[in-house]
Amino acid sequence: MKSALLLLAHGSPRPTANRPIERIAEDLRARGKWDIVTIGYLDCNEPDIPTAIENCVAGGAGEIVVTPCFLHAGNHVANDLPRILKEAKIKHPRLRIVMSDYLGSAPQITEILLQRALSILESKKADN
Amino acid sequence: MSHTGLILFSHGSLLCGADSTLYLHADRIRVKQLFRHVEVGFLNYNSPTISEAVENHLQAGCTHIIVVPFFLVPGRFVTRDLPEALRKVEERHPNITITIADPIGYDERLADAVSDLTSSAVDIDDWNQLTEKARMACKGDPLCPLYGVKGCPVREGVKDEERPAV
Repeated sequence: MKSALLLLAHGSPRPTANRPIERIAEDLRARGKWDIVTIGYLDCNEPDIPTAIENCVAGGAGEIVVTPCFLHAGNHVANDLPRILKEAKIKHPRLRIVMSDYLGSAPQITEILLQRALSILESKKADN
Repeated sequence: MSHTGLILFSHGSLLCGADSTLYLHADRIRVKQLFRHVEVGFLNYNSPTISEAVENHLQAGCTHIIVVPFFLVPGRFVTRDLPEALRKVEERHPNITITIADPIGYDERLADAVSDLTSSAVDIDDWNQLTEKARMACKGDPLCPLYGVKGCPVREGVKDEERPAV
């Protein structure tokens, strides 16, 4: 049985908007912690989440770890995603699906926000 | 102390407690004491609005404000709505300088973040952390998507038609 990591993203009509999430998936793929690393989109892009789960199962996954790559604990994360995953669970009763907290809650986000601010301060200093 | 303040800028959400994460990031940065004032500012649904946040920075004695968008990508909220909102505030307060920083975007630490988060993943049947958090932060707001569900009290006198379609 293979392990799979499924990153959940909102999706966007602008393809470039999905680049950050695609690069995170590439980084995680390179680390080799999971046999399969893939993305499922809630809206606008392919594959949608049910299709991404089907692809994991077709690829031999017995367990899927799901991380919502959302910054907010809004309605999508609180309601939509668990509902979609529970539907997948009904379809594949032997598949183990576990879900982590969402990306926006991670401490690394604080570090990145701070760094974005500090780089402005540094460029101001360089100007003076 | 520096005269630079920091605003973490977000879209805002109707779900009670959805903004709690942003406050947490603001708290973690505030304790470092690198900025004269640190606050969150929202475009929609929540307060303080971005312009209220700027007013609060002025009260705190800031002359320069850095606004960091709490967004993964620079979509229209960041590239259009945020500069527009800030331009209006700057017209009222010509002595303040406001700089918009890059959004979160891609960062190699995001893969670390995902990897760390997965170590405490729970079975999907047990996954109700966010609705639980929302209920704890419940403001009884009829616009919240959870309004009226078990554990979220219904307010007297609010009619169904005042609620948005979910």
